[in-house]
Amino acid sequence: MKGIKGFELENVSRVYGGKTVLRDISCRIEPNASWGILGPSGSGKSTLLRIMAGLEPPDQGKIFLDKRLVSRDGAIEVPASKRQISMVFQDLALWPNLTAEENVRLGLGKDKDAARKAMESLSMCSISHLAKRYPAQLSGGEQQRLALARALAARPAYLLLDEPFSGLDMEIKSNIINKIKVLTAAHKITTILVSHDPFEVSSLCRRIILIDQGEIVESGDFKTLMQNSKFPLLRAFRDCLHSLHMEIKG
Amino acid sequence: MSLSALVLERPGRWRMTGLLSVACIAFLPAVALLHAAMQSVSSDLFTRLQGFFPLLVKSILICLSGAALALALGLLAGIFYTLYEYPARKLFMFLFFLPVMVPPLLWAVSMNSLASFPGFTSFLYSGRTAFILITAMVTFPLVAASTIAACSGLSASQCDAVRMAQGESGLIRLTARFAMPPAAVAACLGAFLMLSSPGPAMGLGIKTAVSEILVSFSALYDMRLAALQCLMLSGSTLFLAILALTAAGRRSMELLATSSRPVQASYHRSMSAAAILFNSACSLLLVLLPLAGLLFPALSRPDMQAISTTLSRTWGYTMFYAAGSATTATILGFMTGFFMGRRPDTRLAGMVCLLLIFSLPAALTALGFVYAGTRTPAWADFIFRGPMAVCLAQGIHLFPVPAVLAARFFSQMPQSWSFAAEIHGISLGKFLIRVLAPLASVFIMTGFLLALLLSAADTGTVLLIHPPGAQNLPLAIFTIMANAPESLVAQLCLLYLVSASALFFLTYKLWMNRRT
Amino acid sequence: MNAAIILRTFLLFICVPALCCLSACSSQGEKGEVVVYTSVDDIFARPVAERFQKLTGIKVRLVTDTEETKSTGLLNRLIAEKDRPVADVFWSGDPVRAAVLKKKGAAAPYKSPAARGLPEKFSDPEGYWTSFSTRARMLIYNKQRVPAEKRPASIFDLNDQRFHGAACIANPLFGTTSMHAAALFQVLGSERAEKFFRDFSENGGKILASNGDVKNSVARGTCLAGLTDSDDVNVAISQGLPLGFVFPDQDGMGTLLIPNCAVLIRKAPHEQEAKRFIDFLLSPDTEKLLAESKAAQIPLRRGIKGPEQFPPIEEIKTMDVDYQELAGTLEKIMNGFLKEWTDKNS
Repeated sequence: MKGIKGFELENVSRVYGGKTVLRDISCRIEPNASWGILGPSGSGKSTLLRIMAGLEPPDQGKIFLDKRLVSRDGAIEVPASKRQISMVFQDLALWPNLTAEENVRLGLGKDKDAARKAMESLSMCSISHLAKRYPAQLSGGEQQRLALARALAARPAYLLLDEPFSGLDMEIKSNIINKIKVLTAAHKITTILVSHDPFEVSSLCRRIILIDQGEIVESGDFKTLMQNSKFPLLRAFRDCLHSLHMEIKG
Repeated sequence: MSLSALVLERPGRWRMTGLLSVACIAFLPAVALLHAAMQSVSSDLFTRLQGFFPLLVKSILICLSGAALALALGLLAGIFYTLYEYPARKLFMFLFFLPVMVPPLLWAVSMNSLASFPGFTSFLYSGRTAFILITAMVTFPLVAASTIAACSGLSASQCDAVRMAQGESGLIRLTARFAMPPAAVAACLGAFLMLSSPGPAMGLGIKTAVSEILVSFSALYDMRLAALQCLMLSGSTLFLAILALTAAGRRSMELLATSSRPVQASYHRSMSAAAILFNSACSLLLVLLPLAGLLFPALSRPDMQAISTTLSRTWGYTMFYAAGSATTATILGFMTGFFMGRRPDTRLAGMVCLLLIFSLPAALTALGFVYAGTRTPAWADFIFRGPMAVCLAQGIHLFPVPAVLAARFFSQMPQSWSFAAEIHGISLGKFLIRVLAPLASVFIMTGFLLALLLSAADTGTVLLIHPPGAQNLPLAIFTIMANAPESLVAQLCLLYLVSASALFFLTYKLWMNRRT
Repeated sequence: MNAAIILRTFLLFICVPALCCLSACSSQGEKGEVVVYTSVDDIFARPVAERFQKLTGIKVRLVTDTEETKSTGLLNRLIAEKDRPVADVFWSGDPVRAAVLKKKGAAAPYKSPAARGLPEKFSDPEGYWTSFSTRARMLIYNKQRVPAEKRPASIFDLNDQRFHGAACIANPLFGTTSMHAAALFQVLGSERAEKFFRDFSENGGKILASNGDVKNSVARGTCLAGLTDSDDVNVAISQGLPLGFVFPDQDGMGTLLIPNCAVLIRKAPHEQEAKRFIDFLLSPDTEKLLAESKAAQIPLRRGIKGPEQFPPIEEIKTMDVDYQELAGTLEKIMNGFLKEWTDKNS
């Protein structure tokens, strides 16, 4: 048993077909904050998120969640469903044969109040009027909200977001990010966003972990890192903001 | 404790073990028989095998020619069906399925009668050309169905993107590339089905590998020679299968459709016209003319008594065998697809296994059942000697057809579906029933229907293992066709075709004609 | 919608196999029945089986086959099942298959009292198979294209210049044609028989898939003359096809007869019923029935009225064949000359 709440990763490595995707990752992700894992495409950030979620085991290393050992050296000790986490996937993973309501309700298991909770969650995400529609009948933004509603319905302690905003226009993206901010703050949910877009991360997260080629490059407070970091993605973002005479507010 | 949905995405030995178990079920009857036959192999056998090899090569070439024709035509027909709206679209597709509903031997009979007319039909419908055409006729719907099923994974946005960049021809090329791996496998399955089916070759009077096996088996009563020839046939098929799959494997990286908006058929002036022309030509060459040769004698006055007694005697078993075999094939096929998953090694192993099973002559599995029936206690008779035996033996022979579709489904399914199920604590069973089964229903039913049609038209297995007094209609036609009036045979064929079509329609309406 | 899918899935995967199981259970062996495998064509065998059922109340479960369609054959099924047979009786369309069953140990001896009056030379002396009603191998010709004076009278006429490229026989590795070939080897000796086949191919003779194809080919005029069985001839004539027929070699070696044979299966599950069925097959009534049927089988017993279109057996000069030895001769030529000749010419 470890000392802190939240995620604690110790020397986590992952190899796919001879290629090391994650190398000796060690970090702490404390609860009640919003975290961003930022890195270019192929840097291993989504793999890291899936390992934290318990969808795949680390080849080496240990993962603790709220002081419990949940994964270690090729084994998942605590399955994803028992980790009090939810996840929104990059492709949203909505089941196309189920209506919006069914998509949310199926995720609630045998809960007697499943129907009520599902509707509540849909209302929270402002799509209760679309409950009977199938995913294919929803717009991109509505699908995003549905995925969020499904993730939040189970009242998780941690919400993992795996690049869920790609392909959305700026307005919808901002709306959804605001929605997530409000809802996670209201329900005291720790958010961990994986993205390659510093804008998304800056909009949602206060703390970030920068990852490149399977290794953690830097981590810490977003604003501090924005000023000092030499990480190419952040530098490019900083230059962009400067040219627009803008800055990140705390 | 319930199994996790994550199992679907996990590698592991269990997949290979599962595949091996299915393969054992499929091969066991034939292997037991071959083992018994090979107990005492003498050296003269090998000298007698020398003449078999060139014949085998010739047969493979002929069957592959038919399959290549079917692949070219079937792929295009499937693509036209998926992408474009045109008049009688579904009717054409239905017409293409008719040849699968008739035992291949009867097509040989039909071709023989067409060959007696002067003109181009005498060239097209005789000898090797006729055999190639029969192979193409039987394989064509398999290819078209696989193409349509595969194209259901294409997203509308992918199509729109290609349409804008490269126009309609580019779109057809993309769709062809997308559907090519399962369509090519379906074509191979068709070729192997014909490679192991003796009827048409014997009917047309041409020598093929399987007709030679039949000679060893039925005329020389030499089981050992037949067994060795079967092994050579299966070995060559295996070699070809591995060759084809290795070549196809590099090109078959699936384009996983992430959009849930499937491609819709739309009207396009010139392409729709091209589709009609193409479909009309295919139906004339591969369906209508052969059908005319088969059914022309049916025009004379029917012998109602003979027809009604034959029908009353056979309709029940026809339904039993077809439905039971298709069910067995579908269950085994989906188990295989499940075990194959999306990993290249298990998929390759599975595909090789499927092609090998398909290449085994059906009679071998059937006789394996007979052999097992004599060596098992009486309580096992319901498996080896009842109508169930027909269902199992045919199902075992035909399950590669639904398995190909199932493999396609499981490899095409986004990983994130099972991840989401795992995150939300949805058990594997619930995930299969609530999400995967409904989504796979189009694949399941396509596989079921194809297996249903193929099994209903099969006479070889039924002849060898049907319980006494339990004939199905094709077998009844088969056993009376030598000396019954041509008109009676033709009328029974017509009735069979009408009933099979009705069953086809009913199943289609019940299962497939719905939208989610 | 999901409920409907579950219901459909249930129907598909549970009900259908369940129905199959039920039907399987209901089809298990009943008392008062006999299981008959026959290589005689369905349309000829079924009426006989139905008549037996009507007379005795014993249910006949018939499994038919046809040599015409070159299936892998009931014979192999019988051989495979021999340790625990399903069949009680094998009604063979020719003595060769019956002899093969004896050789493979699948037959049991039974000397039926009903065989009285049947000539013994057609049957197995030990009683493993007993012959009754017979077919004959016949020459056929197209009446519209071959004048009566030029019709063939001997099988050697098929090798005559007047039928150059226009004579046909069925594949000699199968069915009655294979038996005919064996008979020729027995009667003519290897040298003359081989010469006959070589001359046939040199004269452009065609090997067709089946006797039915021979009949159709000659009727259409694709070929002018050929060899086939008397039942095919009778069916063709009743269909109004322009065919003439000749009992071959009436001035020479005679016509080959191919009698039916009844075989009792070793360890038959319904032995008593099987014996009654064999008694019925061998009775004069059945010979009469088969003579009157479209099979137009010629009774082996003297004094029973045969089919009208064919002469009685006593007026036909028959080929002097040792039917007991025919299977052995066939096996020898199948693995030798006949197989090679067929491979070369088909």
